[in-house]
Amino acid sequence: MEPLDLLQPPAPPSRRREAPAPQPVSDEPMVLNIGPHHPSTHGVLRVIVELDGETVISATPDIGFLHTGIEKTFEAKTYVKGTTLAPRMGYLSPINNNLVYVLAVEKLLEAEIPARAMVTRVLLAELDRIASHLVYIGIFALDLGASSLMMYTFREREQILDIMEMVGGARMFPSYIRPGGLAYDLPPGFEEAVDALLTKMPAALDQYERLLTDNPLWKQRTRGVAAINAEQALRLGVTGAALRATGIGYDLRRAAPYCGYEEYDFDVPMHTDGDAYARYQLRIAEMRQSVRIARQALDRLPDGPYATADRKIAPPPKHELATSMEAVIHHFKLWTEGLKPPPGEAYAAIEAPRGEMGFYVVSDGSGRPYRVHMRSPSFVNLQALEPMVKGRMVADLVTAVASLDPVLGEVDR
Amino acid sequence: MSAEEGAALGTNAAMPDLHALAERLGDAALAVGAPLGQPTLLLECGKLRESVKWLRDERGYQFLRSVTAVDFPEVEPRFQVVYHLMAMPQSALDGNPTPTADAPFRALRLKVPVSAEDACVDSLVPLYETANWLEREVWDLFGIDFADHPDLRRILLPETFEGHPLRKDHPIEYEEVAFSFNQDEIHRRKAFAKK
Repeated sequence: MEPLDLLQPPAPPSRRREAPAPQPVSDEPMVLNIGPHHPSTHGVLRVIVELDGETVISATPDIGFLHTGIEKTFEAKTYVKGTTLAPRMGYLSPINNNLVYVLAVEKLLEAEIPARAMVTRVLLAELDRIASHLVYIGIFALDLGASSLMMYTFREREQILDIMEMVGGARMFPSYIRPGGLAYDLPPGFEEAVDALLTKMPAALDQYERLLTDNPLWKQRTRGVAAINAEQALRLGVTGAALRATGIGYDLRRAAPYCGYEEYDFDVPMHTDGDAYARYQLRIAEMRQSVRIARQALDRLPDGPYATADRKIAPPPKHELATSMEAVIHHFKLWTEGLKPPPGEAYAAIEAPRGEMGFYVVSDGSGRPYRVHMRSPSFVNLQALEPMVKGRMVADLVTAVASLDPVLGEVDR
Repeated sequence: MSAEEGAALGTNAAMPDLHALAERLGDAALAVGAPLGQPTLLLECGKLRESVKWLRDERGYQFLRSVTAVDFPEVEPRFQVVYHLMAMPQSALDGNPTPTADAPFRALRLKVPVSAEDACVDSLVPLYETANWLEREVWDLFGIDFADHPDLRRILLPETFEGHPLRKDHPIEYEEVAFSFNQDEIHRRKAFAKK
């Protein structure tokens, strides 16, 4: 044993082994599986990403985890029961889903819808758009780390959900829009509640913009990120704010107006950059326009019947059943066999918060649809994910998914 | 206000294009019409891709909205593949979302009958990239093949799934209440009853 040197501390036992010989860095890309259980994938979305370091070589979305076979379920239910199925697919914009399905059925029926129902539909659809965009902004910010914003946007969303509950009995899926008009008349207190919300919204939107729009962190993470150009977007079938962000003016409220949208005064925000920041800016601007439309709808809400008088389509009001035999028979027929559109097919499409949402309904003359297909905007928009992130870093994948705003229920149906 | 004006396909603005296409196709155009204000053309399976190419290049139908199929098991040919196309006016492509009366959005529907034996249609992926997933969905749920599709595999259902559920002979698998008067209808619809 060596004599201890009292001036030098003893050398600690060497814990270091020999450093391993450097291995050659593999040239193979790394395959990373993101999802389906993942907080940032907006639902059960699985993305199989091939990475070279942090650069994305390819990103293949794998969907179908939320597939419920709802198109086949439609064939087993009556048309009115379909109003409960339709909103549950695109569950963040339920009123709009409900509306487009009912519009397709009414097209088959060639039904006349009273003005009160039309205006209420527009009002509720725009409130639904605001609610959906509030989720979009909040979750987009949350995905990028700005978690407090979500609580602010959900505060306004709570007000809208309270209005939905007041109107139809349920916060998210009131199934209030029915073939022929509305399910019941508007409750007292509705106009005051909507007025209170619309008065508050512009200041709330200013608040979100103050937090995000000129925020250098936000801009750094979204400007120029996940960009797509107009020609690509058109080829890929992208619709909605994602398409308008590239400069193509396609908004079904203008292209093929429904429910009287041609009579409302509003702008359709456009952009040309096509990146995540542009899509964010467009959604904020669209919310402002939705407030404008909703305000006009509220001001012009007419009195009158809330559903068509055609008893083969809309059921009679309950008090009529006590006095009229025909009313009882109509009620019975509607509840047992359901309304029966003449044989035919109809495709109706609206500008849902995520893009063009369409329902293709084929009727064989019976009380149940023969075929119902949902053209879902999120399904088609999700094809644009790979071009958006190719060559970019993997962190931008989260930005791309969040800015595209897919709703997996709508994607998978 | 009638619902016909609402959610319209964009009026009958596409009819001149359909009539011109029907003339080009001659006998291959099986039916042309605008039921409920929706321009529709039923055409032969073999002429699909050239017709769509003509519509896209000559008449400006740059946008494929949806591809789906309908199953009529009691009819021959069994399936109908349905395409919805949209032509955006130049003003929209330049950024103006409001069309004018002389340059409206034109929307039309093409239907292609496909028999059950050679359930095969030309893929539109060479013309529209969006057809990729849309046609995969039709393959997945109906079993209709799309020739020249770059990646035809299941999209919504798991890869190991057997069968094509949206076909009418694929059962819904729930117990319907069977009375004496609806027994035959139920047995007709269900391929096999639960034991």
